[in-house]
Amino acid sequence: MPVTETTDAYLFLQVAENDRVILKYHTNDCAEPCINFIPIFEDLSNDIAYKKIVFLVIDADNNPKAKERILNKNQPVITIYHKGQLLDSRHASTKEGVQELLEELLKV
Amino acid sequence: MVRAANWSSGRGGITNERSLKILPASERQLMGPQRKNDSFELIRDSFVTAAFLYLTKAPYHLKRIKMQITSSDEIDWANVFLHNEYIVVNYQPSSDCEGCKEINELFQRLDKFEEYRTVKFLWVDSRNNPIAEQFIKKTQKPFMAAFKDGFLVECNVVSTDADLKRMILRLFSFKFKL
Repeated sequence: MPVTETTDAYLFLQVAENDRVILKYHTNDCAEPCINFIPIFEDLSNDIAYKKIVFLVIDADNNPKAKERILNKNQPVITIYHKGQLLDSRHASTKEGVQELLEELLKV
Repeated sequence: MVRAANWSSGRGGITNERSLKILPASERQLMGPQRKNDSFELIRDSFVTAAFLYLTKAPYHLKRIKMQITSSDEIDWANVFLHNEYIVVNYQPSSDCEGCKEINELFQRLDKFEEYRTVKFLWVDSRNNPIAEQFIKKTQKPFMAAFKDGFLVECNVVSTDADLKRMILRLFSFKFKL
């Protein structure tokens, strides 16, 4: 399933409508780590093992607090949701880091 | 004879009752207490000013008087996220839905509770958000979303007051691992 871009106005509806969601908060200001992470996230979204999970990406430039958290570690922030509830949130810049979250999401 | 400041010319000086009577009321208020009535007016005006300053400098007290629930189709999310740790958004459908009236009444009351004073309650008209409108039409129940520090913590249909209070409690207790 391809990665879908979302906005603050529609994010919660997409989270509410899908049982399992992984969301990446991204900003171009974190430069290399965020840009390098784009293909990793896309590859995982196409992995058949995670076909039950909806992959979303949101630009944090309109969200000063989320952006601050990204820039603190210069890594994208990943959050996972199950049936509308936030289960976990982490900084992630590696495939393994995201896979850990995806596995956690599949277990619930 | 009474002493009064001549505010229009910027000079202080002596004036009398007669000259005071022909001054505009706005200028008379700026002068010291002239008579018993003036003293009363001065006290009254001081009280009004103090009350105004008190209210404008203490947002919570202002909030208790003016409901903070906003009915808006265009939210400045960046600004809302920046200034509020906790946000609860209530999507108001164009048509009535099951439990909407009851939940909306509770939603408005919550804004006045001391324990929820740190929460920004937003009441959004979903008619300008086609996806939200479609979603509520489908579920036929009130829909809300809760945010902490700019991150979505929960979004769901909220059918009862217990659901709404549970959502807020969860919002308060949620801890990020970031």
